[in-house]
Amino acid sequence: MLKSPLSPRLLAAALVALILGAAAAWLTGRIELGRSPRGAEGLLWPPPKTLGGFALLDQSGAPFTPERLDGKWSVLFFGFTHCPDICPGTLRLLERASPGLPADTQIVFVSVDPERDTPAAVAQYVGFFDPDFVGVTGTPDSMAAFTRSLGVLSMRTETDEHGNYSVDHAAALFLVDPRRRLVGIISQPFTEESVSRLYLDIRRFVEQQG
Amino acid sequence: MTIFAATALGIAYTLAYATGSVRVAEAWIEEGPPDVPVLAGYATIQNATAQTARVLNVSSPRAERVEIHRSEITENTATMTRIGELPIPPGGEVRFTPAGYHLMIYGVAPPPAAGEKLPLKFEFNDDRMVTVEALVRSNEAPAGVTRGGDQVDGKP
Ligand SMILES: [Cu+2]
Repeated sequence: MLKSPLSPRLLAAALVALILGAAAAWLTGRIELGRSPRGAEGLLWPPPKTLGGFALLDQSGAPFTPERLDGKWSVLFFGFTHCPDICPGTLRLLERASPGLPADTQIVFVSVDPERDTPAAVAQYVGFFDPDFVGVTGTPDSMAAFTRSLGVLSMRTETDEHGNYSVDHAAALFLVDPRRRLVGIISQPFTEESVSRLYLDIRRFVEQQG
Repeated sequence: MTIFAATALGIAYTLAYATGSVRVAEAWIEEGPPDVPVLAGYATIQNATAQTARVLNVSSPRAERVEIHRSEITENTATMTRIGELPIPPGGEVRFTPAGYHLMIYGVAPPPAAGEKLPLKFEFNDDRMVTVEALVRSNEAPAGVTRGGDQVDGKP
């Protein structure tokens, strides 16, 4: 059990407030910072979601199914390969942060543009920044179901006269624990330093809960 | 006589200011993954004239086409919007930065390697044209170490 100077009732009230806050954020489509009693910013506790039931593909074309989240921590972020500006910035930031993260951490790039992002395109894109990163794509339907289950909204802009479009998408990082539970959201704006710190804080809290 | 000289000086000053320069400085292109369909480019556009300078078009002989875009991260959502024409206020500047204004450079084949330079031509509303050589580099390079082209418009 959590040893806390707070009475059980106060603690329960705090947790309810946290759940309500998370639920409200979910409903309005906005992601607010969760705050644990210990101040782990971005913590979602209790976890609002256990991930499952998805069938995606990794960058080698191999299945990316729920077991791929088991036994390790995953940092998920969303992007698309036709994005030369924000997405490379996030990839570089995570690449710089990753040597300082525990070894059982996988960084997962999830494409919000599965129509154009074949596994090969994702492999080339993600591999350029860090070959250790996992890149995930899939059929448009399977990807839509996956992002929806995380509460991630993505929206295609209108196609222009050259057949191009952009995809507006969530820019936060989603933290999934070794039991496939969504336990944290690291909000923008973040830095290499804050990503490491918040991830480790959230992880410590979750591990203390057993 | 004194009044005349002062007036002449005033006119000369006004003329010099009105025909002041439009500069495109610190142009660079972020090195992308191999065969990536689009590269991002950055520059700072300075307008020392007394009128708003509008960037109407950007092009490169090495690219299929170039567009001006603006990225934004608000409320944890990343968006990217195409900008038709970009006004640079009189005496002001617009600085392109990652996660802000950027050029979308489509169809550069073969893809440029770090260290290469690509010409970029900026066309303004008053027929000014500024061509710069943008250096291709990784975004990892510390600011100020590697610099791209820096060019003042050639118009009289
Ligand atoms: Cu863009």
